Amino acid sequence: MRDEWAAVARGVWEEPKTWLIQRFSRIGRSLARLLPETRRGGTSVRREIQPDGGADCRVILDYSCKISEAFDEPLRQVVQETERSAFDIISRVKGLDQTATRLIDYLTKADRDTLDMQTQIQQSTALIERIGQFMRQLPVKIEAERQGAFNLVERINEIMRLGDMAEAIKTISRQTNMVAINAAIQAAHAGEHGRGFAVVAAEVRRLAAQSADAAESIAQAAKTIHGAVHTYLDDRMHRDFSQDLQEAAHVGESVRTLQDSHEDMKQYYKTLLSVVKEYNISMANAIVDTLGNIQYQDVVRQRLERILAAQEHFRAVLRAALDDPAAPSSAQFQSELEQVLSGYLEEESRHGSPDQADDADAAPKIELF
Amino acid sequence: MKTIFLVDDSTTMLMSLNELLQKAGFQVETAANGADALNQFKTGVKPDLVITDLNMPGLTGIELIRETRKLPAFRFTPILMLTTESQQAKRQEGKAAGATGWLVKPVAGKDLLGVIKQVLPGA
Repeated sequence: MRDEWAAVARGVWEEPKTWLIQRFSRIGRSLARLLPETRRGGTSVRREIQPDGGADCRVILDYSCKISEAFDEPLRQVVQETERSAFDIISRVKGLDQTATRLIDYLTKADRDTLDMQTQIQQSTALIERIGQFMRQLPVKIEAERQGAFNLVERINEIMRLGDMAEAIKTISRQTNMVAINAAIQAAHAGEHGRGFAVVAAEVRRLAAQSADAAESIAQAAKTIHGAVHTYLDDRMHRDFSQDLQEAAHVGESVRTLQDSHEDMKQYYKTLLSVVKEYNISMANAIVDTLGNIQYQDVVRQRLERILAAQEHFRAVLRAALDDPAAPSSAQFQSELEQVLSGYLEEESRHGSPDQADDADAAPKIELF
Repeated sequence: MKTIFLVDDSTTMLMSLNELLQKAGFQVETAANGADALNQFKTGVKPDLVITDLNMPGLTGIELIRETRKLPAFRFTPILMLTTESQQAKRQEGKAAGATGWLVKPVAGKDLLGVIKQVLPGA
């Protein structure tokens, strides 16, 4: 872009300069043709312009004025157009810079978030490790529990023997009842003397019946307990823990996969951030160069404004000559034209050239006092 | 954050340099002519660096420097001239008025930032 602007600056200068020099030369030649005597012998001799030559001269002066005037508007348009382009470039560069800044902000935040996530994952990993240890110890614990259950079954089977004992008690109760019935019969045969014995026999029968009821209750309770405990243990002992263990192992594996994925994601963001930052630095340099090169627009504007001023001066001299038929032949007219040219060239020479940095003899572009 | 004051009658110059300097981390204030700049300096605006154009309507860059140097707060403030003018005579005139340095437009962005770092230590 710098080269393009430099070319524009050179072009803007070269064309009008050539045009001005050609224009002045053409007017000089026309005047010389019309007034050959005026320069003869190096002396300035005031002569009347020939009638037809005077008319030609006026036409040249008039058209020079008009042509010069016609150049003004396009030159002003060039100034406006380059200015508009410069504004557009600045605006676009600013937008580009803002987009790049937003991208960097986003990636920096993403990088920071992945670091936070890493801390959380590390904490979760410690917890998962503990769970893993528990899982590894689980089969031993299950086996111990299973063994405990077997021992419990043994104890429960022992409880079941209470039923046998209750049956024995019931048998004894039945026999006691029979004995008590016989005793009651015998007591009845003994009459008055057997009355006390009959009371005892009745009491014995009542106790026998109570014993039988108690034994029945014990047997029923033992059966109920045995049934309930057996059902529970049966479920515990026959349950398939292998699936649970498999699932637990799968959870651990999934967590490790997640951890690996997170590590990949972290690396991805880090690489992305690093690459984008690198591009951003390169783009920032390009933006600085571009914004610096906008100065060419000001350089171009100033050069065009000098040309416009020179043209205006040029036209003023021509118009004065048009109003005075004798003026084109005068030395003053030539002198004024010369002033227009030399004034413009002097103004232009005071200004630095875009190629000044390459010129060893030129004053430095940057000088600190 | 250091403050740089730009004086230029060209809007494109003010806009482009404003962006460039803000991007480099400076706070930027501007004036479109020398008289406005001088008025701001007299009413309390005190930048760390002034960058001014030479040819402006009204007060020229050299006249602005001359007047600014009369203000006690600006006796040692670096003032850079950024202009298309390159002639030695003008440079000497600027130096005599109190300019710190002379830069001929166009100056590459990185070169301008380099000069600013030289005249603004710690920037």
